[in-house]
Amino acid sequence: MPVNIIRTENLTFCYNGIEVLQDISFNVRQGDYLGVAGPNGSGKSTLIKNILGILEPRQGNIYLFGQPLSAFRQWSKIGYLPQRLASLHSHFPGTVREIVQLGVDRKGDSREIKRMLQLMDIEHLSSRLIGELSYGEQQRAMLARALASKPELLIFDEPTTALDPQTRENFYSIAQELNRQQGTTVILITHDTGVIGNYARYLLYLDKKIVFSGTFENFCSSPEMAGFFGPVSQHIICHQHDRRNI
Amino acid sequence: MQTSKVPLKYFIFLLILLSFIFSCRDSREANPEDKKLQVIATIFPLYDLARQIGGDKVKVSMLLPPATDAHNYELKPDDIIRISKADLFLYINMEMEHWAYKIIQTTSSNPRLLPVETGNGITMLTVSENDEDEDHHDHHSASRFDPHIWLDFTNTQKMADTITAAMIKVDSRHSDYYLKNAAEYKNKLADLDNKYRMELTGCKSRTILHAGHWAFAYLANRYGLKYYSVYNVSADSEPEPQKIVALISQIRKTKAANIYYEDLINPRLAETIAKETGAGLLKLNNGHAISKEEMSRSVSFLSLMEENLVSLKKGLQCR
Amino acid sequence: MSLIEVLSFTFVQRALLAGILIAAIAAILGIFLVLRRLSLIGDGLAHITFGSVAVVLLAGISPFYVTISALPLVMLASLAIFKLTSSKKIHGDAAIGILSSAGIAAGIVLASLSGGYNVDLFSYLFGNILTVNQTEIMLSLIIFAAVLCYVLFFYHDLFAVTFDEELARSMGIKTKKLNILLFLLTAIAAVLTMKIAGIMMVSAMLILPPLTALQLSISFRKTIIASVIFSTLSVIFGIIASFLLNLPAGGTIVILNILFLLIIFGVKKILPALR
Repeated sequence: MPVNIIRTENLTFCYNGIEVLQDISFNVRQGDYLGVAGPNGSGKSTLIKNILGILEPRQGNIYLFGQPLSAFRQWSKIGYLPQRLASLHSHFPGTVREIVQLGVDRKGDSREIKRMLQLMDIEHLSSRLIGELSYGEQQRAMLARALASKPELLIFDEPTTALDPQTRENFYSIAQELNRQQGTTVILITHDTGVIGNYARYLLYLDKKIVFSGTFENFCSSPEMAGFFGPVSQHIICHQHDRRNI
Repeated sequence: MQTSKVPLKYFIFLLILLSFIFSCRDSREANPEDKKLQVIATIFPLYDLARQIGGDKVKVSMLLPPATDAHNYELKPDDIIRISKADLFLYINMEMEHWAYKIIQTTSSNPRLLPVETGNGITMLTVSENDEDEDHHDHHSASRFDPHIWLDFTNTQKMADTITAAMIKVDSRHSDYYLKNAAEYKNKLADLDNKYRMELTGCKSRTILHAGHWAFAYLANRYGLKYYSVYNVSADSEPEPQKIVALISQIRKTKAANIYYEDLINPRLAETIAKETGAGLLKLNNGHAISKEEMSRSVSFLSLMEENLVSLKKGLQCR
Repeated sequence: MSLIEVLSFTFVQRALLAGILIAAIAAILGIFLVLRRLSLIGDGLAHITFGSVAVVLLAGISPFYVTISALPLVMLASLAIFKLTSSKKIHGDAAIGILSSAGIAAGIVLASLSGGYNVDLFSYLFGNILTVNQTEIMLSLIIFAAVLCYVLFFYHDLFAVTFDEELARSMGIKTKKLNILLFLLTAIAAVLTMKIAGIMMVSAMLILPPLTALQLSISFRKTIIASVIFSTLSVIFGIIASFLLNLPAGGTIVILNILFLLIIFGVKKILPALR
């Protein structure tokens, strides 16, 4: 029976007195490919930040790999690719290699690092400062870091906004591969619902509270969703793609 | 968003109330002591002189609190008020108390106050570069004056005269009293001068090596001693490294057993030099650097100079 | 005066030793502080130390124990800066400014209440590296060891936090504890540096060598090492130069640091033009 990788119960989060997440309860099972969608400001990134312990919820319970968040220690099982780095100035003294090395805990295997760098095609940049790279190269480095610890859970937060199509495709196929071949659980946050349609099996639609949580198929066949989005939009989301996943 | 708005008018009311409370303090000062001559002296030597000469006919207070650096003193508003209520304001001269002019300016319209430059008529020595120095090719163009005139007791006697004259001017009723006290005190100073002269002959060393600020030139001059200091007159800057080295060389050259430090400068430098050369440390008091501890011991100028003599005899290894 | 002569004095040797230790401490901590936009914390902590010392002296504590007694207040203030910075309502620089002015103002008022600028109080502002004693060298050694352990032990986590704090938290790093430790170590380093070398040296040594090292655009590890190198060289050459040129030691060290910064900056500009 598949294990719950993530489980939240009645998660509520406030920012400046405003409720940004209202009573969120959902779970993600091992091997799922979950897409998280919603309009801007709907709390998608905030939800992930709460789950990862970056932000502290007002109330609610969070469980990672079956353990309460407060007791969770196996962080190397999680690979997180944030939407953007808080404030990276171009002269930050960290080489790409050092950044990727962050992904592995204290003992870093240099062959593994090399493999990661090659995988993301940034080996030639390994001595360059992270701040000097283009956005696409930076994202590749950050993904290399996330993958370096061979995570069981991969979280992408809007990974491909402003990325060139080639890199975008690359990211998605890597996630796809990992999910299919190795059973890596993937969570993909994006406002681009079309993309979700291409890859995710499950969808969590968020607008401060859960609008929809379930399989993609159910989403497309749900009359309430049709009502919520309007039949035209729903059609676009569900039928525009050629679905490449199972 | 909750912000509590205290009505502005309550705030203003509170301010006015507070200012009334604070201004009330001043009027409650009717004091029997007021009948005496009110004298404010800047630094300790003047304070002590005024006490001795004025006796119980004056009330003397010292402007600078103990353990305060006189050379870099910052006037407080209270100071000016206190002085403007006094009869006599005693200071050395503009060289010693740079800030005195501010007081004199502010109180110039006060007919009752007589500012007294006690250093008037006394020739000041310039701060010379130490004689043994070969390192200085160029004399510093701004030769500062050394204001520590009271360390030559003949000067102190002249200052006593100046103070006495001032006291008589504003309080002629007691002029005999003041003159008598002054004469007695001048005798004591003359005796001290003799004692110094006698006891500082036949010393193994004739150089005062001082890891404190430049103050003892007058004393050294009077008794034919050489004087060597690491700092300048007001000790407001770090001693130059070469001066430190020069002092160390001097100590080694003369095989001096002791060097002098002063109380109110951080003794770290003196300790460092002492450690480097194996010399002992002895204290010299320049008369104006008085610690709180000394004040509580009720020291007098004479007693401090007696202590200095003991230190000098020991350090210079006199018979 | 020859170089040999200068180096033969034991007080110069002590100054060099203490100076190198302090330089290394400041250079290492400084990297983390500068990268987190806390450059003025050294200056701020020095001002707060001034206020703390005034409090301690007013309380009548004997000069011998002043340093130890003033430490808790400064460490508390550094935690206050940390708290203010994390609350996100106030930025790091403003938080430092608030506490820094409070410290100086408290110092001035308290000094006046206790009857004037006590010499002990002043000696905290204007320490002199040339008069360092054995105890202070011991203290410097201890703090140096502490900082070294801290950085070596937590290197991975520190790098992560400095790179991106949120990312670090997502890796399970206890950023709060790490930061608190950093602030406390900085507070202790600031008080020690001020006592030994004066207020000016505190912030200069915390900022300048790291800034120079950052100009080199090299890896994080190498940047820290470069920072330490610049820092220690400035102290060694600074002290020697101060004797040969008869200048105040502290000021000379700081000027050398600025010189290094300008040189590296200049070289960076000229190098591409030469190609």
